[in-house]
Amino acid sequence: MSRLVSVTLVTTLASFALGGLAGCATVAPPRELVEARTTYARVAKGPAAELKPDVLLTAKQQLDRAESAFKSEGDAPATKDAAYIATRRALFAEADANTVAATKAKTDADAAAIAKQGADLNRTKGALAKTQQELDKERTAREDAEKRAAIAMADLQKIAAVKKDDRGMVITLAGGVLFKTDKSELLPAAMVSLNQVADALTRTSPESKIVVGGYTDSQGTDGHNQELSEKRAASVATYLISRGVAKDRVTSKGFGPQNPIADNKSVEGRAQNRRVEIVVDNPK
Amino acid sequence: MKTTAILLPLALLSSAACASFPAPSERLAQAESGARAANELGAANEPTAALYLKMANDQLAEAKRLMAAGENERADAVLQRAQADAELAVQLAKEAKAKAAAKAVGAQISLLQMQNVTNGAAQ
Repeated sequence: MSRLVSVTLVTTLASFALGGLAGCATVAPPRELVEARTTYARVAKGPAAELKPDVLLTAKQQLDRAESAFKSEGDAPATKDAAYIATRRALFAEADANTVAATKAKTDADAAAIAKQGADLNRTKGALAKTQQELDKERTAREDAEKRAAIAMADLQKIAAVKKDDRGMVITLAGGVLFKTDKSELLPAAMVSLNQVADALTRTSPESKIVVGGYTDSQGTDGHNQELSEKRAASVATYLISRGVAKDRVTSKGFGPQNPIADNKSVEGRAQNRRVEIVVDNPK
Repeated sequence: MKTTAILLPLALLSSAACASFPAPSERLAQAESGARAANELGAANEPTAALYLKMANDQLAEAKRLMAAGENERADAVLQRAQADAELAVQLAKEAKAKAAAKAVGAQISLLQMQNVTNGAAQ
């Protein structure tokens, strides 16, 4: 029994002595301590050093405790326990730092998303403003055109009879103003009036069709009157086209003595019947 | 008798106050609380967190066994391990959540970028 005591004493004293002199060189570090050292070394190189230095320090202090325990007690349970905890502390510091980094990334991403939505909104607003500007420009242009058309019509009414009937707008010009008796060539003076008519016509809707109709009184043969009215209508149509009215809008037609507007028995009546009617239909 | 008289003081020397070490009930409560917190944070759903939660629970079971056997000092050491495991499991669960949230926002940004390309093309 006393030998047991003395052996225990000697072994204990020897391990203390060896531990103190040789710094654990004779005892291999337990795997818990090796793991703690490796883990700490890795974590210390990572984001924890910058983001969570205080937590990393706590982990280092725990590792130091484990190293102290190893120095004084070798691979005793106390060393293993301390090392076990040291590994967890180091991993904790790492996870803590990663959490901070992820939270920051989310905050940054949220801010970027908001900024992006703001930029998208501004871009949409800009596009909307541009469209509105264009619409306003179009409307102003349209109003100007309408004004000028109205002015042209008002001026036209000074030199021609303008009315509306079921055919559309009808501009009536007296034959005596446009042509010499029994002729179909336009008088020079006629061109002045027709210039104004052409100007007014160009301001009407480009979709509307224009029919130039020639009419005579009832004197003379139908055949002669038909031919004369056709030629006169064609002369006026040709001239209007030369003054800028779109060619594909214009057709000419002779009606001879048909559709009189006045009584052919009187001089005045016959003069009125000798006419050219320019009909602008309503656009479909 | 003589043996006991010599061995008992030695036993006392090698592990100071071993016989009168109090039952670590407070540390047990703390460690259990930590394991519960980790569980509530969803540690069980995240592989690494679940690993350390399991270790915490294993240590807790070992500690209780030791306490029942009267080995309070050893139980206390085991509970310290359990605490470290539980705290780590909690932090790992938090990390997983934060990463998932960051990823979700990242996905949203990619979606916004794709929509922008479509709108740009339409103009």
